Amino acid sequence: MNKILLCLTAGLIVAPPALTAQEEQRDVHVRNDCRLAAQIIRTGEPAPHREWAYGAIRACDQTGGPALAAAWTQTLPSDRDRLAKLAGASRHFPTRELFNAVRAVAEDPGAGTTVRVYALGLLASFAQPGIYLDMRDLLEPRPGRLARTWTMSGDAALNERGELVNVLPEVRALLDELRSADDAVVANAARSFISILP
Amino acid sequence: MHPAAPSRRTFLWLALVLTACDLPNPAGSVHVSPTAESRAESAVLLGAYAAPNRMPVPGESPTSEVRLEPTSIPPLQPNSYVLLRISGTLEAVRNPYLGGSAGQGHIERSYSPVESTESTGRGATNVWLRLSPSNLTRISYFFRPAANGSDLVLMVRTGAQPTEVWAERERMPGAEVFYYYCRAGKPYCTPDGPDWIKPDTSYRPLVKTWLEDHWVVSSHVVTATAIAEPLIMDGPTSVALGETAVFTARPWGDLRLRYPHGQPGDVQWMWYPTDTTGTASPLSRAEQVCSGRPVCEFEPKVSGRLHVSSYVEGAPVETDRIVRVQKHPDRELRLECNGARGSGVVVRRGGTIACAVASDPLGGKIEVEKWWFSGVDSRGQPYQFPTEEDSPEMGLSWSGQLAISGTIHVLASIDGAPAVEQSVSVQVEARDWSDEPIKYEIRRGTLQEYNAVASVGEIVGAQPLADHDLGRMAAGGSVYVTSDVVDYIDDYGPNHRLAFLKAVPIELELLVMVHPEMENRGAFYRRQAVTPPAFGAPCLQRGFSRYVEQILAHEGFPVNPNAHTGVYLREYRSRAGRAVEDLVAPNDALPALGQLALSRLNPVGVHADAVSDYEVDTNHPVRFGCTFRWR
Repeated sequence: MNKILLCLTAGLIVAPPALTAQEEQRDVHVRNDCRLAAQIIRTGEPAPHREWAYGAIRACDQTGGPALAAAWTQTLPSDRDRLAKLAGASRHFPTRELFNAVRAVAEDPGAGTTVRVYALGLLASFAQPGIYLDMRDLLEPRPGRLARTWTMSGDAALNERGELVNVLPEVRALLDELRSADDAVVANAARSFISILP
Repeated sequence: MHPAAPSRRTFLWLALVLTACDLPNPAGSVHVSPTAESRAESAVLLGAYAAPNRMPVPGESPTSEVRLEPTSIPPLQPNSYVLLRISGTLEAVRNPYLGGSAGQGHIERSYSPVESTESTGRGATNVWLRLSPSNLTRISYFFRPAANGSDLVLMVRTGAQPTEVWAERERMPGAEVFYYYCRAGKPYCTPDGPDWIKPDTSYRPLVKTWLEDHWVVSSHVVTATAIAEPLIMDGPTSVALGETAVFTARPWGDLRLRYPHGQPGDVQWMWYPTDTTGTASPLSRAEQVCSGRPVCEFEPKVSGRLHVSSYVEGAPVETDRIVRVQKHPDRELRLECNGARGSGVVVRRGGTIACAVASDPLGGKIEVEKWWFSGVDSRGQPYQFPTEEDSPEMGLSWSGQLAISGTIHVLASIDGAPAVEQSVSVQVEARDWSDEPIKYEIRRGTLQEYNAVASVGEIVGAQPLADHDLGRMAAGGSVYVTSDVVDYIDDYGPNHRLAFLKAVPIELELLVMVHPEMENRGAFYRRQAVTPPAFGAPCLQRGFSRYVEQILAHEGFPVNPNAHTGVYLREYRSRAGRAVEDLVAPNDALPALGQLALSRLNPVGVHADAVSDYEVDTNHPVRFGCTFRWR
């Protein structure tokens, strides 16, 4: 089985019909949505539209990456729901700019435990797509149990790494370094992510 | 004159000569190997000599030295024994020319240690043995060969150097002549002849001449025979452990155990345990196992050297014998595991191996010093049991469950021999876990739960953006290493303290999510058409129940073989068992075992997910038959 086939067959039906590459450039409606979504993500306002913005930004092949990279450099939300939306949207944009921004967060001891664990999860997914750790087990470790690993059906379309095709050694080195982080949760997460790397 | 320091002038020489020897003697010496057991009773006739049997006559010079020809024999080989037999008579006859009885002379005094004259006219003499160049040994103080010709037997042991052997008769002590004496320098005087000087009664002769008062008259034959061992030890050279052996010592041929003075000789038996070199070692620990008698019974515990010493015909003699205490001469230690030796023993993981040592052929006494197993566990760490901290396993057999391949060793001895190591290579074969059952649970999950499980954040948003957002399946695996899935070996056998898997240590959690917008009649629902339009095939609100059923069937809730859950489980089950079947670690390293299992099972999950995606979405896609309106 090859990845091209997997990409074509991901999801419930053969191909996602709505959003395709370069649509932002061709479709003025999409372009307008992207501009609005980027603004909401950058400012967090208006709050009721954040949900929409994190969904819409995934279709923004031109502005999505820079907008999300910028979001990782700003004050990050502390609640898991908003972090999950930020991370979930970010994994659609495997760019060096976004990678560097996320890496800086992961390395920053002052960034907060939850933020750093989400950043590590995102970096790990760039290095080894297709398998994930259970975020619940990372943030609230089960005594004596290893973190669950997950695979998600219909996820193969996100396995293309783009600019980040060779980041595995970089991510491994970072995780190795963070294994002995002062933050026990971050350290445990780093060790757990190492275990799923090839 | 002291007999230990005789003057050459005063001796009568008897030379033993090598004559009539028809055996090869290329080096001009006599060679007999005294230690070769096979030749212990061999003998070589060196030669014989018949002495002249007459009195000297006037004109000869018979007194101080009578040399018998030939005068030399080839040197004897070092450390050999020579048996001299002297048959016939060796007489000392009064010098008839002294004329004492005729008043021509007078024997004033005899210096012989014995009375030099007997009524029979025979004298006594001492026979000395000279071992040239150094030793002079008196071998018979009183040499009184009987007139009837009985033998005198002499045993000679040569030294470390080639030795010339001479037999010498001690000078018969002479008589001091008082009143008559021969002229100075005359060895003897003819009765009434001019050589006699009649002394004055008041005159004391200025010159006195020692005259032999006895003459040696021989009528004898001397034979010299080299023999390998004058003292022969009979008995076994190999004794089974625990058996009593009987050894006897006897002199060669018709010789006798005799001290130099003729008393019966005692026999002393000394045992040198572990000395099997045949050479006395300063470190040898000697034990006197028997004393006095020529028969010795004892039970040697280990191999060693038996030494026996005594006297044969007056000569100190000794001999040794290496006695090996062992086992059956042909017995070997045999190690078998499950009926096989050396290698080729195959045991299915978790099966039992039973090893035993035995003697081949049976019957040997085996003492096991220790058993041990060596191998490598799944972490790549060397494994050995017992370690130095454990009690050694010392039974004749050893058995237990086996989890890893390796080598079983035993160090044991048989019949008291030094311990030797035997080993058997054992191979553990994998169990057939190609379709090992997997513990799993399939349940419906919410969108929030679905998004929460992945470490990459939200995967599907609150509003579906495409068909593949309408339903998803996530597969989670939780590794657990508990007694449910682990067998702990606790039998003090070869793999004691190892733990191996008895089931795949995973709990699968299959989460089927249908997007809430398909069921809660929200914005997405309201966005769809209410009634069929004239053209096109939009999805209708009234079709949502059917769409949900289609989504659940596609994702696999309940599980079916054409759904994501079904294909995932099929693929996972087919590979998971084989991926972890060989995992083994010490029972105090279970976390490491869990990590190993996780690292082996993660690729299995990725594979199952990829096959599930491809196979189900390609062969069994959802056919709504309509198009949703996404915004």
